[in-house]
Amino acid sequence: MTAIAPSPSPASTAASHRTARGRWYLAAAGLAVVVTAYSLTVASVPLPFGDVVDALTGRADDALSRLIWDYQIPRIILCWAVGAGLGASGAVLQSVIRNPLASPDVLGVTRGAGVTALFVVLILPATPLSLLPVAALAGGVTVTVVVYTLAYRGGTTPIRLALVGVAASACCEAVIRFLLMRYPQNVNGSLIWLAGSFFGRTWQTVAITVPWVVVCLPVVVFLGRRLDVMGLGDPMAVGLGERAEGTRRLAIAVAVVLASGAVAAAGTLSFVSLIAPHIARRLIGGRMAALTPMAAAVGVLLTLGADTLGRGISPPLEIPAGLITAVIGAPYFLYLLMRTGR
Amino acid sequence: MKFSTLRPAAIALLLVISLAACGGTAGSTGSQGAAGLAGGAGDGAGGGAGQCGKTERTIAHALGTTTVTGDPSRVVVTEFSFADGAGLLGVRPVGVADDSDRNRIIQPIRERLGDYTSLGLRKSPSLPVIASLRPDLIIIDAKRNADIYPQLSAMAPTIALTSQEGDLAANIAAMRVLGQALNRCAEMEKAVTGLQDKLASIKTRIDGLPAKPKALFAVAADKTFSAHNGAAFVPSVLSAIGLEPALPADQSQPQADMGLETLVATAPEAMFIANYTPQNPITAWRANKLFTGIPAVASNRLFSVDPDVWARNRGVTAAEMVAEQAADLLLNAK
Repeated sequence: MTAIAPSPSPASTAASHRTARGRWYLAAAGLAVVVTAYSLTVASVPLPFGDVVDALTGRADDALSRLIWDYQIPRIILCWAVGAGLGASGAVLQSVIRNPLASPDVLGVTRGAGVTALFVVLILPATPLSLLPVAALAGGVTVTVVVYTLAYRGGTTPIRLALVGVAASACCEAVIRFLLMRYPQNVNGSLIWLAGSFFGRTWQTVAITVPWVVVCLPVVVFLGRRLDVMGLGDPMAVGLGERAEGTRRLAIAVAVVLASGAVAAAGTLSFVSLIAPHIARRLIGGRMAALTPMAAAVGVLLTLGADTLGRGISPPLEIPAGLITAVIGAPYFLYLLMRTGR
Repeated sequence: MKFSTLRPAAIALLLVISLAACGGTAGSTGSQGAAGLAGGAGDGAGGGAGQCGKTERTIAHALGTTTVTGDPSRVVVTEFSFADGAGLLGVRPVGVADDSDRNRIIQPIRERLGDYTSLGLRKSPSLPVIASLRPDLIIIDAKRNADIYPQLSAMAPTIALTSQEGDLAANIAAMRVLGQALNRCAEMEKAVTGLQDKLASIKTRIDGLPAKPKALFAVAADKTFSAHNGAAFVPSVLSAIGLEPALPADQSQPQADMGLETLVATAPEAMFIANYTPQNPITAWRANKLFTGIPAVASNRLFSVDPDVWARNRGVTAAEMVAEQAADLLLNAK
């Protein structure tokens, strides 16, 4: 045998990858904490960090306490829930459809959820608030079922799902535009909602949407290993004992629930579900079990960052978070397109 | 579908139902920020005149009833017409949602207001800023701000009045409720009577026209041309001075997008267009023979008017200015 440098054993490579991943998780968690702390101080009125701490520990006066507890904190919690939900949803769908440009937007989930939510709000305003996520979910699920059924031919392929999804998305967009035209007096509100915004959100919205995310995120993480097997291709996956179609359905279902919940909470926030998984993949690699939590974390950072910027750029104006994510997301999306095109 | 795939579906369905149940009660979609789009019903203006003079007044408004105590001095408003109303009563609001642009408030109102703190957009006024002003009365638009009514009610007594979605009568009724809330009913009645007298005198000027034209008011911006019918603010003001609106009142939709064909079919004899942007559909239509054939255009009665006065402000002062400007334009066009 020639004397060559011994290649690292699989065990030690895995270990070093785990340490690297661990470091990225730590970094993401640390950054999330820092951004959250900073975000608490960003409002249309000057809020020094000392005041925030006072309010959190109950030493502040009534008005300041109310400001932190009734406005800042529910908003930030929602950013976390929506960001995590969208990031995870995008990661799962990109894996299932095996297309790096897939996201709940592409499958028509976001638009579908948007249509029913807008419909309920504009045409049935007496509906109790707790049913709004259900309405959004109904829309998201309906569109996904339609897309899935139309793309099904003894099984679905990623490309068919993506193509049918784009068509369904366009249909839903048309319905949304029609609703906007039919109810022009609500255009201001509709447009802000469609851009995706956390304005005026309260603990009520938190109570209604956070449970969905809390329940679905662990499911997505547990699905990670099965999705990795699916990523080997259907014949290989089936050969390894994986129920391909069943796993695909479950994954899509959970992704739809996460995305619809996010839409019900903040409107149709764009690009987060598309770019969060990509950024996560560059940091941590493509293994789903590791990718999904990281995509959720990146989603949180993006959403929280966008909302904070929106609040802080020109007070008292509150720029909708969705506009900021679009400003960041669109160039990044173009960059992605150019990279995949090469 | 195999039974094995039904099971997860059934579990999922159970989960959905229980999560929806967890969501709790209270709050209809019409009054929360998740969508924040639907609004309240008409203005609850009836039977409140007797409230003035009492220290504790129960004010009935579009989104319910609110008790206002004493004479509010730190008033926050989210519409220009409410700022106008308060100013006419000698009350200077401490906070006004002015879309971050003071100049959107028409000059007479701006002068009466003096200094105030800007709240940002009328649709999404900054809640922290409102809280920091420690208001003792908040007045919001029943349609546009219905989504933040619960949050604001927790801060201070809040009343929701018609501004965006009302004709002249509805706006005047809203002003009367505002007068009750500020405990100055007599002054408000004086202002309203003043407006009515002014409109009557302008009506006599208009009567001097050989033929009173059917008038159309529309708002043009970028790619939209939105025509207001008799149920909207400006057409009802024009109607009060004797100018019949070209579009009959439609309470369910006071304004609607209109294309060139419909405009031609409506055949208005005078057109008042508020241009939000210099480029709008009219610029393209001017080249069209159909457009030049419209009676208003053919007889040189297509007038471009200030959107702040005619579209945005909608109060007592705005009504007077609209009526005066309409009369001036028509009488000078002859």
